[in-house]
Amino acid sequence: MAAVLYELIMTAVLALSAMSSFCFLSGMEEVRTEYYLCTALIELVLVLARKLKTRGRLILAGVCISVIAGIVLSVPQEERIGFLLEHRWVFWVLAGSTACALLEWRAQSHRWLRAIPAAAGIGVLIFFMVRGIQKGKSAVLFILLYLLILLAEAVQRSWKKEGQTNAQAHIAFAFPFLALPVLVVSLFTMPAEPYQWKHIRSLMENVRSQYEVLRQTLNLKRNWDHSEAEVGFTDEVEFFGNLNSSSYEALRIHTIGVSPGTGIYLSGRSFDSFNGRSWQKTDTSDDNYRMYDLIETLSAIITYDGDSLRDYVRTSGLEIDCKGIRTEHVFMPAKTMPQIRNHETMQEGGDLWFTGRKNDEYAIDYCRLNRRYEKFEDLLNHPSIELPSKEVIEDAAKVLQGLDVSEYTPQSFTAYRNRIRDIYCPKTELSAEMRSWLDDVLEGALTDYEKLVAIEKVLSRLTYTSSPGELPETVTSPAEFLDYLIFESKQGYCTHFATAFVLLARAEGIPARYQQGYCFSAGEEETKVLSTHAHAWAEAYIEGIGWLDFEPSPGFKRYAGWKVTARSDSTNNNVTALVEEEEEEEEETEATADTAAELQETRSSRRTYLPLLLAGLFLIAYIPLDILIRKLRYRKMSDREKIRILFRRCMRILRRMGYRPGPGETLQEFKTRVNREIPEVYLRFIHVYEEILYGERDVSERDLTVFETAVYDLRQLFVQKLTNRRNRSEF
Amino acid sequence: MKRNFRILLGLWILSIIGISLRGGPVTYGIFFLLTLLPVSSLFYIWLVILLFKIFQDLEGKELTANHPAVFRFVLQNESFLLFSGVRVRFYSDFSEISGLSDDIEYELMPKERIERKTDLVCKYRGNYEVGVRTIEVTDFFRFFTIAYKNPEPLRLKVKPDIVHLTELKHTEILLSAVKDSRIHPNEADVLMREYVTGDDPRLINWKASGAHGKLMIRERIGEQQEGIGILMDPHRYSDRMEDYLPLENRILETVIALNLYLMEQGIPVETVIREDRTEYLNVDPHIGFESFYARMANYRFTHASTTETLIAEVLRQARLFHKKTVILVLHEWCASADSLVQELIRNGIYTAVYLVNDTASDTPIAAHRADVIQVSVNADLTEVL
Repeated sequence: MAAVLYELIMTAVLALSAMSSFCFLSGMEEVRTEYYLCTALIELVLVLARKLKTRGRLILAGVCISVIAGIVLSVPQEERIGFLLEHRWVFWVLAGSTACALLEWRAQSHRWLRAIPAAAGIGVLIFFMVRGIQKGKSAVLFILLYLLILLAEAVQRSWKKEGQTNAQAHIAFAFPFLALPVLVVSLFTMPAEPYQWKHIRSLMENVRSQYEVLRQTLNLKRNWDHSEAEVGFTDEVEFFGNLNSSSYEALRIHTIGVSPGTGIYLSGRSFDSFNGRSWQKTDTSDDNYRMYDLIETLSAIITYDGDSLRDYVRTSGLEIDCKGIRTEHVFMPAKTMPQIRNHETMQEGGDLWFTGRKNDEYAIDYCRLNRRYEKFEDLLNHPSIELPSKEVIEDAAKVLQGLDVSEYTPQSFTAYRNRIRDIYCPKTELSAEMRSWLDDVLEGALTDYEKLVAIEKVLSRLTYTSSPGELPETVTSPAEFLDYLIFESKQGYCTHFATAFVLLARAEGIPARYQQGYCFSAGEEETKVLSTHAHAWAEAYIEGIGWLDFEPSPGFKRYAGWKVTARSDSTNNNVTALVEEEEEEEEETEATADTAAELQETRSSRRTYLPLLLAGLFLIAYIPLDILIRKLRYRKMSDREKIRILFRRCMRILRRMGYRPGPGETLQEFKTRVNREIPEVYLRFIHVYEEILYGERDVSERDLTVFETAVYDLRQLFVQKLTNRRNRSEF
Repeated sequence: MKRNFRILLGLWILSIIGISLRGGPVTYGIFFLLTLLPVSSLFYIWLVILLFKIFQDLEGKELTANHPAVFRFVLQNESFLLFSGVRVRFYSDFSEISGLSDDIEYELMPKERIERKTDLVCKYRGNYEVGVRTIEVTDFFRFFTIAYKNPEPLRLKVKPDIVHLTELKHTEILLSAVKDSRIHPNEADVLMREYVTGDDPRLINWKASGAHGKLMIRERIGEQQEGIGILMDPHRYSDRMEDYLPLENRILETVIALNLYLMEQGIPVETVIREDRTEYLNVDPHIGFESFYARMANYRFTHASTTETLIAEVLRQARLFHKKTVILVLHEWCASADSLVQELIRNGIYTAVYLVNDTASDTPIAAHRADVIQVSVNADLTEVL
């Protein structure tokens, strides 16, 4: 039994591996289930044919032929050729399975032959891997199962043990535990991409962020050597020769009402004074600049095109969690409503700070401007410098969720604008060469906005690099800085370009300031803002509009915006009719499909029952025929041969009753042992057999009678024992 | 870590590298399979542990040390699982099983049983476990071997061995004790008295009783004050069985061997022992040896009973001073023993000391003209005593 199981396992697994590998190598996308079933069935038949004796083989052959005949006969005559051609894969499977079975049978006596299919399997695996074949999961698993079985057998053969150590029996009974992990693996999905280790990376980022928070808490300074620095937000602005990127999560943002992919600039700190080598912040006013700016911008839009406010400006929200930085800065986009829920803040020169709390989560609401809208661009080019009236200010307040705007009067706006000019537009000297260059750049630009766009464009054509080299010692003024950047170096990172923009804008009399914070693209709902997203850009003030941000750094996304389209109200009356026609077609198709399905069902039930019926008929016909043939043969036998046959029958019955001769046990010893449980009268035949066999005497009629009686009596005893056992089990 | 598991671990690490670099069914298939294989192996081992049955049997529940007993054990697989590697380890500190090695691994097919019959010899007297100690189960890939204790060990009570001495090496013991103290069974008893309830029935002189028409008991004059006294060390010197069992076994065997030999020589012996209280056990041909042996087999050495306590009691009761010879069977020499020996010698009593010890000690008693005989814990008593 164990030997049969072993052979079946080895041949079936080998054949299934070979078949599925061949299918996938020949370009098949999927191996059909019937291929597997057919392969397994053929292997079963081949193994049984090998193990059974003549009678068994005859029955097996008869059943197989009946089944095949039944299948073929169940197909209408005119379709048979087509059917056979359609199922010609059966012949390939038969050939392949037979070849595998023959190889495996030879390998049982010449174990080295197993190396051939093993090597072939490994070769197929390597081929699949190299060629990136994604669909061959079943082939891979069968090959792995085969290799696993070979490995288990090798371990068993090298293992010194006592007891039944037969390797074949070992594999036959260990197979479920070999197949179980393979079966479980077959349920897993196997992606085509390498594993990304998202959780590990996320964990590593979290650890890094926590380390950064700790480092900042302990005020561990970064390397302040001017030759090198790391990318990230700082409170100061200096120019370094080389920026190193070591990424960690700085902020986690949850966006509300922002489309994915939208560029968002979060300002943290602004600077107003540049000495040629670094920026300082001198504006420490605690006036609510943010509010003035918001009101000014909204007023301009309301005055220009109040009915289509949403085409120009929309409110959105952000929830910001400072994961990897420890700071009192409030990071927020331009046009943020200055009140932050559940937090106390203060303003310093337009920058917002948390008072007394660091590293907290907070939510902000802000207004997004549609910089891509042509009408908005028109507004920017033609702003009204009139102070906003009280009514307009109140209208703006409605947009700002009913904030108190009573302190914002036209007079206070005047003071606000004057202060901006004083602080953010100091006299900026340019060299003659720079002046000439700037005039060329601004040729044709009439409005402030056009000038700013032109400056932004020309700077964005320079080269962005994180290793621009240190600023020469000779650069000590804004003019020298500009000359160095524009005419000499022509490369830098965001700090360089933002600085250049601000200086050039101021040279044209337009107030501008340097902004530092983070710049990123909004995700679906949540975005991780890394330290490498730290950025610097410029803001310029257009009187009558307010502050606008500009992006002079090469390669960075500029204005966010959205499409403004007209809505359509027309309906199509013909659509209803069209839908009805389609429904009728569907009903017809369904009706046709029903009829075809019925026909198909009839055919497949014939294909199932007819082979089974034929196989049953064969067995019914065969068994009495077989008995008849055996009886005829028996009659023709010599007495000695008859005795031998009868003796074997008796021993077979005893075996079924559980009495088997032990290894090396003589017949007499066997008889003595069995006699303890079975009366002597049933075992007389053994004594007679020994006399005939060893005594070499002739067989008499009486001897035959003894044996025939023994066969009959043992059968009765066997049935009786079975009945007794059944009765006992019923109790 | 087993070699095969190390190989699996190495391949698993390589498979992790594989899936990090390349996707697809090959890399992921190998990775998942290598991850699940040890799980499957552990699951298999757990099933084997649940289903495996072991039977062990000994002929007789009470054994005597150094006497073989027939030991039978059966490994049985009643399930449909294959048991690929089962190893049985036996208790070996205090017992030996002949013909069965701990290194054998067995494989059991479904419904198979392996039966072995052999001899088990317990080395020491005591109450301890013998037979199968642990069972180790290995999976079919030899990744893991899990050992678990036999939940139903065979616990035996082993009696001390009775060593038959044919001669006593230290004849002075005999010489000093035999003179004037041998019971002459053919001589008429000197004194007879009526039997009183509570007297030892074995002392009834039936001949005299028949003559007198009532039960008469022989009174031993001088016998209780003659013969040999043996004092046995009562102390348990360690908490570890490996230390105290051999030692106590040897002490008991020495005392039993001496008692048996002297009894066979017709010399009455009185052995002083102490468990909770001091007892005096007498052995002579009339009283018999069996009850003495049974008492000694059940004797318990304890931490509380010390040599000092016993000797103090002996000195107070002074029964040993009526002996011609006194034998001390001790493990360690102490000041109390020294005092006792001095007293005995001063009273003209021959004293011999059997020191059951593996380390040679320089005892001060040598100066007191007592004989010191070293008895090794593992020595053959017939060679030493």
